This record gives sequence, C-alpha cells and structure tokens, in this order.
Amino acid sequence: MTARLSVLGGYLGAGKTTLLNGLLDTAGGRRIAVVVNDFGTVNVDRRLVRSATADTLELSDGCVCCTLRGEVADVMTRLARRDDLDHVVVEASGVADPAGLATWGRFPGLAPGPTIVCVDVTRITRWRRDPYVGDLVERQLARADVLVLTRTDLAAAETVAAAEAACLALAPGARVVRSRGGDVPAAVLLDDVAQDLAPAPVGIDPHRSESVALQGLVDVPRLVARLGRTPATLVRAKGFVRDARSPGVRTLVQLAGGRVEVTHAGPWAADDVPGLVLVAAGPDARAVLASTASGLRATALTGTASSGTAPSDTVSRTLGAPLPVA
Amino acid sequence: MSTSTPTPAAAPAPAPDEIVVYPARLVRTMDPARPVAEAVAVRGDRVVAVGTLDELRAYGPVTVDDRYADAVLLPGFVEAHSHAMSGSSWDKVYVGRFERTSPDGRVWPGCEDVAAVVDRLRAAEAELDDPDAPLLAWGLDPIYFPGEELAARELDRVSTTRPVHVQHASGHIVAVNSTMLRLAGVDRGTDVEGVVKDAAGDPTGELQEFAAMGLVMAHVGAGNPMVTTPAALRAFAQDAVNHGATTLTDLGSVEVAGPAGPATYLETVDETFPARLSVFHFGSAGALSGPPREAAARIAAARELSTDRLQLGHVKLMLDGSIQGFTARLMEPGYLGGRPNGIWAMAPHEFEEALTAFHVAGLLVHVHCNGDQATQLFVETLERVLTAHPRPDHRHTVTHSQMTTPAQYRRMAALGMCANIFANHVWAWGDQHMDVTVGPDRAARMNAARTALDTGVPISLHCDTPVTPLAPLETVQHAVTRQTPSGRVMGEHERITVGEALHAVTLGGAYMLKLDHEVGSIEPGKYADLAVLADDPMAVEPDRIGRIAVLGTVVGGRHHASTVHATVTASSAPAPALAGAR
Ligand SMILES: [Zn+2]
Repeated sequence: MTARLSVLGGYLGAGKTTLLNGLLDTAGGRRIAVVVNDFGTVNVDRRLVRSATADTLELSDGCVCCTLRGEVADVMTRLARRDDLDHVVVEASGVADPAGLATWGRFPGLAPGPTIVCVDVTRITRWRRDPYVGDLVERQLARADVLVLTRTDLAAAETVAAAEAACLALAPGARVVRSRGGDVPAAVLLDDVAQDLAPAPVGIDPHRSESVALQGLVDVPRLVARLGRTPATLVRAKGFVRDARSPGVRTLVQLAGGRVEVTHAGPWAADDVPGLVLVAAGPDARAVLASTASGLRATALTGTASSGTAPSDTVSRTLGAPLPVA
Repeated sequence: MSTSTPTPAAAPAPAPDEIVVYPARLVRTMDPARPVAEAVAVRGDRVVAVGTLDELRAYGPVTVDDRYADAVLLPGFVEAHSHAMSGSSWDKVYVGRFERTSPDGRVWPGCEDVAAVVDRLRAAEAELDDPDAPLLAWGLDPIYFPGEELAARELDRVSTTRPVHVQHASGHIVAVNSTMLRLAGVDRGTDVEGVVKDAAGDPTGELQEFAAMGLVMAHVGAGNPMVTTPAALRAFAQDAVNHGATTLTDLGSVEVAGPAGPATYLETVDETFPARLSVFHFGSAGALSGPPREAAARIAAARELSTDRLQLGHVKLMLDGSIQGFTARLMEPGYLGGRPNGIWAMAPHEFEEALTAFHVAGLLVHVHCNGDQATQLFVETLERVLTAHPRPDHRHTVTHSQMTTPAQYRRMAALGMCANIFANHVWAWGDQHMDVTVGPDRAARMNAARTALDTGVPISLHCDTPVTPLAPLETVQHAVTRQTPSGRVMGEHERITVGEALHAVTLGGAYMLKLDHEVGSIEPGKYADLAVLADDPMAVEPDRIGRIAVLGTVVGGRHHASTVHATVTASSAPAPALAGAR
C-alpha cells in the first residue's frame, strides 16, 4: 500500500491544528499518519495510544502521529517504508512554503496527494497586507490544490466570498472547501469527495436563533459565567465583544458542546458589530433565547461606553492568543 | 622560535598560590589603562598584574617562565557565534574552495577546480581500509567552478565500487557516484523531484533538496548532527586553541532545555578543557517542546549549573535564512534581479511570544538576522517588549547583522542592543554579494562595522564555524580590509581600524556574552586567558593579520599548544588562499 502524501499548509493560526484533529476524528477506517511539529497540538488524550516512542505515537485505530523534532528526512523515510498507511498528512510550519515538503510525495513508498492550505477568512486580507508576511502568505496560497476556508461562521457572507475569490485568483485550479469549526471530514480532504456541506454556511441552521447586541464594554468573566448557566437546549452562542480589560481587541466568545471558549481574534475594526448570536433547539427554544438574551445584557455590560481603539501594538501582541476563561 | 613552543596541554597547572611571570616580546592587553606591557603575572587561574619584570616582582616571590619570551600575548579571543558541531565536520573529507585547517593541525588547501576535488577524494579513498565504507566529503562550493560539473561521472573516477557522497556548502545539494545511485536504487525510473537527470533521462548523481537527498541517506550512515558528542566538543576546542580563541559559543544547542539536558557539556567541559564555552539554547519553534515560557524556566534553571568554563542560560532565536541562499528576509529593494524574498524561520507573532518569555525570565537573547527585514522585525518587536517589560542591561544582540541599516543601528543604540557582525562574509561571499545577491551598492553597506561603532552600538565579529573557519585574526583582517577574493574592496566606508577590530573579537565578544568582567582583556583579577601569537597584529600589514601564526593559548593559567606546526613558520611565506584567488 503506497500512502498518499498531503502537505497541510497555511499561515500561523489559520486552523491547521483543528483540521488535523478533525481528520483523525473522521478517519473512518483510513490509516492516516499525521506529522506535526509538536505532539501538544494533537488531542491524543482522547485517543487510545497503542505504543509510543519519543517521536511517534501509534494509535489503536491504525493512525499514527509523528513529530518533526529531528530531521524531516528521518521521519519521512521511516513513514515511506511502512506499508500499513493510506495517507500521510504533514503539517507545515506556519511560515513554510508547502512546496518544500510536497516533494516528498514522489519519494519511493509515497505517492503525491493534494496540498491543502488553510485560510482564515476573517484575517486573510490583513495578512496579505502585512509587510512581514504578506508575500509568504500569498506564496502558500498559490501552492494549494485544496483551499480550506476556516472561520466562515465568523464572517459576513460577503467577506467569505471575497476571501474565496482572492484565494482562487492566486490558486486558480484549487478546490474550495468551507469549514466552520474545522469540521471537514477526512473523505472530503483526502479522497476528493465533494463537500457535502451547504455551499453558503454563513447562515444559521434550522434551529431558532436570536442576536443579542452588546454595545459597550463587556465584563467577559461574568459573560462566560452566565453562558455557563444556560440550559443545554441553548446549543450555540458565538460573537465578538469588547472586553473591558482589552477594548482594542476583538474578543471572540463561543459556546459549543457545553463549553465556553474565549479567544482574541485581531484588533477591533470600526465596522465590527458587538454582540452574540444565540442558537437554541427544542420546543421552548424561543423562551430560552429570550431569557438568555436579557440575562446576558443584565450581567455582562459594564455600563461603560466603548470609544476609540487601543494602541495597535497591544493588538498585535495578543493576536490569536488563547485567553484563560474566567 | 622553537624555544617558544608551548608545553603540551597535559602539563600540570602551577600551584594555586604561586605567582608566575611570563615575559613576552609584547603584551597587548586591550585595557587602555596599560595598553602594552613587558610581562604578565598570573596566580592560579587569574591575572595578578601586567607591567615590567621589576614592577611584577613587587607582588611577592615570583617564578619567571620564559616560554613566551619571543611571543606576543593578547587576551584570548572570544568567538561569540560558533557551533560546536563544527568539531565533527572533520570526520569527512574537506573539498571546499578555501584553505582550512582541521583541529588536528592538518592544513587542507582549497580545491580550486573540479580536478582538485577529484584528486583530494582519490587520495582519501586510498586511505580507507574498509572496502564498503562510504567516502563522505563536505564543503563543495560549485559557485566557484562555473561551467564545470561535479556529479556521478566525475565521482566515478574516485571509485566505482565504494559509494561516494559529497555535500555542497549550501547544505541543499549532494553529489554522489554511480555506486551510490545503484545502492540506493536511484535510476531513470526514479520520479523524485530534485533528482537531476541528463538529456537521456538518467540521473546525473546530483540530488537537490531534502527529498532527493533522502534517497541515499540510509547509505551515508551519519549520526545525528544535532547531538553534541564529547569528541566533537574537544575537536572544536582544539580548533580554538589553534586560532587563539579562549572563549567559544555553541550558538543554538537543542539539548540544554531538551530531554538530554546539559549532561554532555557538563561532563566534557571540565577544568582541563582548553576553552571556555557559552552554550546558547536554541529557542525557536520546533526546537522546543512546549511553550517558550516553560523552556525559559528550564533554561534559567540550567544557568545555575554554570561553571568557570561552562556558561549555560543564554538563548538563540532565528528569524530568517541566508543571503547567498536567497532565504534572508530583505526590505526594499530586495534581491538583485527581483528574486522573491526569503523565508521566515519563525512567524513574527511566535517570535514576539518567545522573545517576551525569554526576556521576562531574565535571559540574554541573540537573534539570527541576516536580512535587514529580519533586523527590522527584531528591533520593532524588542521595542514593544522593552516598553512592556523594561529591563536594564539586557544586551540582546542581533547576530549576523549583515544588512542592518544606519537607521536600524540608531534604533539599536537607543534600545541598548548589540550587534555581532558576520565580517567573514566579506571574504567568503563578498564577490557574490556584489555580483549576484544584492549588487555593489548594497554590498558596500553590508556588515557595517563602522556605522555600528559610529552610532554607539557595541559590536563583535564572528565566523559562524563551520560556515566559515574559526580564526579571529582572519576575521579581524576581513573587517579591516573588506577585501574580497577577487581583490575588490567591498565598501571602503565600513572598514574599521585594527585596534577596533581586535577590541571587537576580545572585549566586544565578551560584552555580548556578559563575560566582560571575566575575559576579553589582560587585566588584574580577570581570568588568565591568553592568545599566544608569533606577531603583533598592530605591527603587520592589515592584509597579513590573518596569517599570523598562533602558537597556542592559555586558559585560566593552563597552557594549550597549537597542533598546527606546519604554519608556525608560514607567517613570512605567501598566503596560498590569498595568492591563488586573484
Ligand atoms: Zn550560526
């Protein structure tokens, strides 16, 4: 069995790690070896590890996880010699040109697979304009056989469409896959199976939803605590707010799977609308939405109007950094 | 001259309370309070005083040791950017364009054409006993052999039975012979990018980039070059003895904060080790497991294990690639001929996170910046980090600093940064910088030691061995003359004086390692670390400085002899590398 080698590229924070974890989750009998820079990025704690060495974890479902800590050639030649793998997916570093690793696809024992490049649609315009990394981000995009647009659920439909058009201009032949939370099945990425997601994933699914405007500065720990007390039928909440502690930053608050997550997602932009979209299911969805919305407004707003923006250096220092919740 | 040959390294150190006075032809101290002297008095591992013999007798009963009576003594040189793994390069055959001396004292003349490379390899092949052992070579730089090829056809003249493997100096290409191709199963059917083929479709033996190079890797049998061995450390230190360096750096070890820890260094660098060694931990992404903050704590803990000879606890980060490899990050107007810009070794955001963590932990950070955009990113990032976390006397250093601009030097001065300038590039790739990489205008501004000093930025000059030879006197010569192998001067304005260059490779290097209170000048109370030279660098023509014979070193009062006997008398003979390259 000759494994197909795919390189997973994209700038730092574009969603590669989420995508890799999704691949392992949806391997569905495919034996996939993922090669990552650091074990820490793969959720191995929820998988059964059959055996482990310093740089290789053999998982009980036949998948393998390797780190690139030593020489790339060591790892690649070792994987090429194995005959029990269907796919090798190599995570390129956030600043790497995926083409370098893709040359391993013609190494004996491996076959070339698609180069997959992740694009964060909420940040791609800014990265392309960045004086330090703009050229490299475009070089990465140009290598794509598959473009995975990530965070499409956090952007307006026009933003997603514009990002897609811009990326396709750089990688004209690429297949475009839209991802909401890294939820792209292995079949879509690795087997050229057409994406079964709706083509315009920006809208909210058939559940009932409501937008809560949160104009002004927000007490994020209290917001998080309040979201944590909502009934299970509130299936999702997501949106940007201005944290009273760092008002210049877009603070992304998400509730999914019963967990609340807070991250920084770049500087606050003049046209950003602060607030959360709530999604509820079940017969009393309407009541749940109403009580959650009023509860959030009552507990989270600090009463301080927000104005101006923080100095830009504060912003760039916290870009994409996960924040402790509470 | 024979009377001044230092005693072998095995000689016992003098009794710790005995004062030994070493008269010399000249003692040049690099200490302006007493810039020159007749003799130096040493007690144990420290300098007591410099002065005349009579003055030194005033310090109590002294023993006069005449071994350096004909020599010139300088402070031992400080090489602030070098790599310990250079000590293991010499397990392979050197086929580079310029003369080099291996730590065992053997002089390897530069190979001036392909025929010389083949001859060198044939001679080495004849010395191998095991008929199946591969013949491994390094340092080939075909940029100097335009129009000539070196691949399987040429290497088959070396052996048709033994695999031959020649690494290019770039590290990105190897050349192998037909036996190696056959062993590795590389033939016309091999469809791997980077396997160069001739018009008939057969592989030529040139393998480009890592996938193609990986095809033959199993038949090379090389150990992991990232792992430091005691033998490599000792060869590295002997190389230092042979060139007058008494303080070395291993700039970018992955071991100190890794699972291996600093054990190899601690075991090998004892009080008989013939150099001091400062090990910088490589803190860039991929070299660390876990977040920088955790690595910073491990590195800070390792610092506590430091000894007189071994300094642990500094950090190296890397931002871009190399200029001659077109991988350095340049600002406008970029590379000559509009080639695409280079690559980042770390994303700016990752860099800021790492620099912040190491800075906040109180560690000293040297950052590899070849291109001016890399320097720019370092300067801008450090300004933010220092604004958020002020810290006196950090001495964070731009290492290589090859394209740092005057405006950047002014900002560096304001931020308290140092520059370790890659002066050897003027010689090693100066002609390529003028003609191929950035053009004559920007080349004239490269490695701007004059500008750095004029703007008040503390500097040192370095070799980055194994990239260029560890030889501080040659480095001094390149910074002073700025002459390229073709005989051109690469930017007269950036020349510095011999005195400034000597300061840079002694106190200058010591300062950016935070060792200037212990080494870098011959000064009462400092370590008795000396370079024993056959001539005074201030007294010879600048283009002869690099050819001054080094007789050995003194490290903490212990004597270490050079193994290079062949060149002891060479200071008056024409320099082969210089003469041959016109
Ligand atoms: Zn280096």
